[in-house]
Amino acid sequence: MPVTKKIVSLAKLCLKAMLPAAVTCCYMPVKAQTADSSSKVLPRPSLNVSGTMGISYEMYGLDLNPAGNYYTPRRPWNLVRYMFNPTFNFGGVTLPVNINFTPTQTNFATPPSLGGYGSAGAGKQTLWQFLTNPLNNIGIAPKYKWAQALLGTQYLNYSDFSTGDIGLFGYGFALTPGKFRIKFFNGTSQRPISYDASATPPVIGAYQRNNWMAQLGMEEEGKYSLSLNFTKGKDIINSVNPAPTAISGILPQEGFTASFVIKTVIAKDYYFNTEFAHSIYTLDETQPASSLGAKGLEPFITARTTTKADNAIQASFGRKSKNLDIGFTSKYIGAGFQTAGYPFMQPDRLDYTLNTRISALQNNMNITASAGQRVNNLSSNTLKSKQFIANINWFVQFSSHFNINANYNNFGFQTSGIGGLRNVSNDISINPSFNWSTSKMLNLITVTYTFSKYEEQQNFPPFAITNNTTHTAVLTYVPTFFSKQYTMDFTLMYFHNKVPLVLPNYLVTALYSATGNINVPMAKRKFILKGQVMYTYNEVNGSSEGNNVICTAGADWNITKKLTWNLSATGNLFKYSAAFIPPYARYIESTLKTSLMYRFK
Amino acid sequence: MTIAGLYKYFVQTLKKSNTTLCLVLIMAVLPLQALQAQVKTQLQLAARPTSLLATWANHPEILNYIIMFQGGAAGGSLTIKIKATFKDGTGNVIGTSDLNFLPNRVITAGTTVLQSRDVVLLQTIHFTGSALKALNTTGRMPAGSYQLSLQLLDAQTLAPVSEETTRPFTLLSYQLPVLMLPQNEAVLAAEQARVAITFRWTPLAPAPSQERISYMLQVFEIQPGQTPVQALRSNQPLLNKQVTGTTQYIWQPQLYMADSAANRKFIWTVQTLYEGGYGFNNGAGDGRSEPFWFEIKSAKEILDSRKQ
Repeated sequence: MPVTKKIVSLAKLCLKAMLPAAVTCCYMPVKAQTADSSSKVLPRPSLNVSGTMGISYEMYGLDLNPAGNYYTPRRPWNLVRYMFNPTFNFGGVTLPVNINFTPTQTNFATPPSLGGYGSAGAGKQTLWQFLTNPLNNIGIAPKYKWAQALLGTQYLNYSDFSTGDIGLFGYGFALTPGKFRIKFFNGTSQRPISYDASATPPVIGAYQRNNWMAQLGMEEEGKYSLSLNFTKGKDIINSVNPAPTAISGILPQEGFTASFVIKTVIAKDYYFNTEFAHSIYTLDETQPASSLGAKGLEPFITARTTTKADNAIQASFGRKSKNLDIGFTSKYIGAGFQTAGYPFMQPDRLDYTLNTRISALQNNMNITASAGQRVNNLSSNTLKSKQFIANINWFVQFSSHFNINANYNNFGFQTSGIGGLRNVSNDISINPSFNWSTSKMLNLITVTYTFSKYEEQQNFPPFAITNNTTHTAVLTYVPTFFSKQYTMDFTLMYFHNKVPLVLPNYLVTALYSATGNINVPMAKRKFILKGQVMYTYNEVNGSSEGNNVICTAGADWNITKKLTWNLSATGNLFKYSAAFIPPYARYIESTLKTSLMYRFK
Repeated sequence: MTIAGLYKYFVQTLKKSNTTLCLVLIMAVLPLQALQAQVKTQLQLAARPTSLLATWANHPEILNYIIMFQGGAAGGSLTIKIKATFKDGTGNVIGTSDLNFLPNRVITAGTTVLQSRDVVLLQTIHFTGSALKALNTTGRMPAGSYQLSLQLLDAQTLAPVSEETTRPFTLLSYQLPVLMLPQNEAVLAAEQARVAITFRWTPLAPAPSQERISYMLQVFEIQPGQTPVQALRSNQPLLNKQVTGTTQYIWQPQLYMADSAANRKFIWTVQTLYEGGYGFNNGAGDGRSEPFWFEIKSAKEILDSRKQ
């Protein structure tokens, strides 16, 4: 599609989207005035609106010369997002609205032939698929005093082991009368996608997953919080036709989790928090019921041959004060613990960490540090692995002109047994900053040097040890002219990575980069022009690997106090060297981003 | 004692003692021996199946139990039960079928091929000890060496109608990679990150000796208003790079990172892949590791936050 056509269609889309919203905005003050005018007779609460609304558009282009597949597009060609996030206040009623959606499917988990990642962008989705698409948020949460209704898309976090990572499209409520907390939500977290072997590539499919969650608790802010949480997730076997094949690993699953949470302040500045959870999870609902294995919990979940049940527990205690924080945290997640509310949670582990923060010298020195260990594969069915994680950050403001930040990170990973491995990563970074003034300008120079060493060792023949080292140096200079409004900054960077191949050969990657930024405010700062140029030279084993230039130009325009327009266009040219196949190939990525945002208050 | 051994014992007894009693016993044993002669079985079992025993039913490639029945007096069909016994590496029984729960199955003359969903009926198998505990909590058998024995029983008398067929197998259980750098919720300086970001993760453990695996490194931009996991589930990845033979990747983002609204938050994960490009699911899941997210801030923003 030619660029002009794209722009015209974009303008039409903008108008279509903004017109109803604009009408709404114009209408709101009238309503408010009407309420005010009648207040002479009977005082009525006024309508207040805060929050934002807007529209954003992103256009992406990729030009390869010569044509080929040595670089693949990494964004959708066109992406429009509509955002409508006002909060209406009328008397004691609060109505937050959260509507963010796009008609273009970009779901990575959505099969390409349904308009997901990798598709030509022509995929269609049903209304139900659109509403339950995790890409879209369409929800409201009206609240009156201690009662709140939850409708549409909601991301709810009950606790660390019950639910918190997934969004649901559905309905529910949250009641907080006095000390009591009563919450419930029922909805869909995964939309149904049927298996399609004829598509290219084949559509694996996914079952519709319905979830419900409930919380019963008591809370006194700043003193304590107790809650009992229940969550249930269940795939609907008949939601797809045909169903995903079993060999794909997409099986209809069902899980129930109960957790008990205590958060309390045990004395002034001291806290203690803990959560205990038990999960019952069925990996395949189509398998027969069983009374011999893990126990179910009727009527919430029936035990099947594919059911597992396990526990998780975490506890933390410590002290928080102005100049000193210290805390200990421990978390155990059993090998069979699985909850639908955290689909990516890694089980079978024990973590314990000691954290501290020290502030001294009238807050001119801050030290934050943590040290801990994670043991994975605690269960006897696999080999144990251990990770040691430690880091310390030390910041000192020596004077108003000079400060230093130093950082050290250590990460160790070790597994035992025949296939054992031992990996240790050490990173040290030092970052001094110095500023000085003249009568005309303020100068800031900040330098960062980082050394990273990553050692991999195999505990089996040939017992190879691999040392991977990286040096990074960054120099940034920021001049600020007192008499000028524009701001600039310049950065030079050097990056060097050395990885052994078949010894004595190494792969040495070096990057040399220079960047310049400028911001130019105009028309009493209503209009800010901005630009950036970045050049990077790529080198591998001493030979040129390619050159990269990225240019960005944009503007922020405060059209009114409440209406802002942003525009940003970026061109990214990468030209490979003669060593690349095809030689001297190049690609140009172009990205245009624009948004129109209205702030209600 | 096998049927042949039993027969030999009876013949010896016949020579020594009560002839009538022994004749009765022989009459009882002979039909069984004759039946065994009519039923032959073969067990084909994958050497390294998934330790997630509960999902064997979905993997027809794991087990094939071939029954060759020549037919007989009962009109060419036979009603049987299939007894499954799990043993550890030294031959100790750790789980066996409860004959009361085993369903009857009718086999007809000819060859019948059964799979794990037909013969390893977990709802009928009593496990004991550590295997029971592990299966109840994780659905997996502990890693190690095992044997599986299958035998056909007469559904009425529960007498064996075939030889017990035993095959050894080994269970391995893997731990997916754990992400290392950038750490979860890390703040990276834009001046450095816009040139190169180093991603590092732990390898699949223990190191596979047979499977050839690779890692798919995926980085997603978290758009304003999105939660990190929402971005992972719904956005197109900015980086989707297959990495083989190493657990590190230096990403040159080639992104404009000075804007206050875009390219500021990212979530990343690693998907471990089989040679065929499928997720290394170890019996469950799609091989994706627990994701981490990180944020980009300018050196000036980082400096200001340190001072606070």
